[in-house]
Amino acid sequence: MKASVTPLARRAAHALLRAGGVAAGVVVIAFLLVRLIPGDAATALLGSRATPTAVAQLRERLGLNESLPAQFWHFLTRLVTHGDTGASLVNGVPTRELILARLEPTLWLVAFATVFAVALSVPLALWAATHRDGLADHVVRILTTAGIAMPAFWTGLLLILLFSVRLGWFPVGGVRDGYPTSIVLPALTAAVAIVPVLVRSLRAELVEVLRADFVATLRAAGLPERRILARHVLRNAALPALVLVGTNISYLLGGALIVEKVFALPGLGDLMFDAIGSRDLPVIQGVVIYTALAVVLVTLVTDHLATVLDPRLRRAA
Amino acid sequence: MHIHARRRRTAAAVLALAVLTTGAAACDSSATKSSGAEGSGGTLVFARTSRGVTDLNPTADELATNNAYTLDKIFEPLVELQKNGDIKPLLAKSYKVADDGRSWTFTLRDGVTFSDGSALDSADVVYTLERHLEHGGALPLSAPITAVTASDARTVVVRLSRPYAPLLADLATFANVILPKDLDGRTEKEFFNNPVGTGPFTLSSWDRTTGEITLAANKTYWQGEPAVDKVEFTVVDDDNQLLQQLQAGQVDVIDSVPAANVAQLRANPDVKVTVSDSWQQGLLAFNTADGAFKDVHLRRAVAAALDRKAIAKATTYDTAAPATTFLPSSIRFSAQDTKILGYDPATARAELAKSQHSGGLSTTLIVENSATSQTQQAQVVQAALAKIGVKVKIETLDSTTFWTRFGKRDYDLAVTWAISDTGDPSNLVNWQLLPDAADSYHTGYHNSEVTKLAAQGVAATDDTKRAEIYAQIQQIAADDVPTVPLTYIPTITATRSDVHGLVVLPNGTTRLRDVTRK
Repeated sequence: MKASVTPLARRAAHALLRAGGVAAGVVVIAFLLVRLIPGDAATALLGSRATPTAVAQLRERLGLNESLPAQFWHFLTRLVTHGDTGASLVNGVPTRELILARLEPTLWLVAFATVFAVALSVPLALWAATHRDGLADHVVRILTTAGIAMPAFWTGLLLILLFSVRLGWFPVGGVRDGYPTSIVLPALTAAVAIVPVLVRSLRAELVEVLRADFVATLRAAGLPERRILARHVLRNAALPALVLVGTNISYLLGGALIVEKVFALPGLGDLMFDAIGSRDLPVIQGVVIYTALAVVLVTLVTDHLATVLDPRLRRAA
Repeated sequence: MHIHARRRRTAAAVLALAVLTTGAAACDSSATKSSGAEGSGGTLVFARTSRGVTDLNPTADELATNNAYTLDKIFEPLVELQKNGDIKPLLAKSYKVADDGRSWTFTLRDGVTFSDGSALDSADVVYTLERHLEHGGALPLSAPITAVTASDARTVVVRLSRPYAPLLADLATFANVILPKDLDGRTEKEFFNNPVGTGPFTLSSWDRTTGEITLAANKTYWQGEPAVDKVEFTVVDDDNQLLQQLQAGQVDVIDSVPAANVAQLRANPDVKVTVSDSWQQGLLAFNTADGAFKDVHLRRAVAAALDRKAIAKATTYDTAAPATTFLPSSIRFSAQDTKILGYDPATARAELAKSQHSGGLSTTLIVENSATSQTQQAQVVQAALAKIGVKVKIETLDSTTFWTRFGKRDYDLAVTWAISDTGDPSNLVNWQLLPDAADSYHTGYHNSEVTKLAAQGVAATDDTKRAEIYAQIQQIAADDVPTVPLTYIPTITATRSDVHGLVVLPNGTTRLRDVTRK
């Protein structure tokens, strides 16, 4: 027991270090990238009224006239001391507060999308894998190819037209009707985007396990096929699936931006979208940094979980 | 064995949860139905585009439409804009201008109170106007005011250094709404976070993180309590969401219907579409100070190459009228008989031959990516100019990049829009033809004759005289072509069919005090 803890701890330490490096990189890139977009918050706020005098006044008030190193220093000290990237240039609310307020729809979205994705992928993959190169396999392949080809805004629109406008089961958008009603269609849309990837990988995983010697042995022993699948095959395919789901949660966070826009959800993606439009630097930086950290964290946790669950991975390390 | 069974149960539970929540959500769908509560006046859900409400200060630095058109429900000006563009007394029951045009006397209405119960008097008006003169803000009080005094509790006198015809039009804007004296002793921040006005609505709740804001009926409103109990302003910055939410009854009013969807909404019996005159225009702007379009003949050639009727028809689905002069027909003294360079390929070629680019040229046109009709207009312009040998490359830019470049005059051609702040022609003249305010709307245009006439137009108090002056200005603009006005864009509003009494004003705002449901 003891012998296996130490390498595990070392692995964790390594992983943490790598994550720290990634986080530092993200902080620097977040700061620099947003400053490459043409235009600034002063022009964004003034729009058609952006006269040179008005822009100059507003730039002064918003502190956009500082030199780049000075801005970076302020940004860094604030990030370290307050864990915040500053107040929004548009409405003056601290970025951390904005992010916390907008977190709820995004969390609901990611959680439900994950549940939907797993609930859809596992049966489909199982069906395809057990009927390899049969009709079922082809049907699933066509379905997943179609799923990949459908962009989120299109899927979302179709779902809205059917379930909201025609049937009136769910709201068209927004979160005015509360959770989880408001989140079902967006989560389904987000899930449709990742289900194809999950199904294909899971199917490959399952096919491999089904070919394994122990399955042949179990069959030879006369175990019912259903029991072999449920107790042995799925169990062995579960681990890679977990890692896959973990990776795709990160992908979902990215996809949330589009899905939130399509369903007018006031979540993090929507916040980010608006912030980019209005060149709201503190908010863009804040969302980028916190989202990146969340992705790093999810990856760390799934990696770690996999190691804990599968003794072989520990030994390999 | 135990573990296996448990795992199976967990998997089943996860699936069941997914199915259950979906089902439960489906049963809950009654909540998506109309928000009008029975018995009471109900709630009006008003969806707008762009940003949420960030500030309710009428003299803030930034002019955000949603801020302005929220605060004008809480506060009221001395005189009020009407649907047809006229100005009528509101908090002032009457006004009188002295014979020399240098002093205006406003008599306040009796019995007007702020929402906290205190009575409106002349000290509030004096405070408000002086505050505006001091703060300036996005819409500064540009009248040549020398003094604002209260001769008694109900009378306010505004003195000017010279006659200024647009005073009433200026006083009717959201920037001149009347605030209580000294902001009731509170700081600016405290007051505008929890404002007190004389208007039909009061602030009920305001989520700063999303900018969603709810107003409640002012129970003590001097014209009687509004029929609706609450107005919820929400932001839906996606055309498709706007349309579907309205059709599904999730929202009751949307105030910027894309032209392409008017026909679809009109076919829906649950929805009413209103097309109202506005002070907005779509236009093609030239950089008249640098580059090829410094050449007036080249600009005239472009104007004559454009078929504005066809542009209005093709890009706005017949919702907008083709433009003639830079003063939309809803603006006072708009001279629709101005001789403009209408569509005429022969004239276009003749003007091109007179220019320094008789052999044609290659140029670029910038346009915002946010409005489909604008990008379509850019394409129509491109096709039309190709016919006279002017090759146009279109650069589609995101909104902020567009205004950054347009504001710095970093462009040759630009398809964009403009809206007047008042119904008086002086506003657009100042904004589009005079170099001081905005570099002649970022065209760099300068004509000393226009500058002279503009000063006369503001100072003249006789309407016939003013009409003459502004007709002259419009003719010069039509000949010099700093911009080609393309379309007069209407405000297209859509509501649920049970919403009545909504008034849409030419500046794009709405009046909600007479709105009823059913």
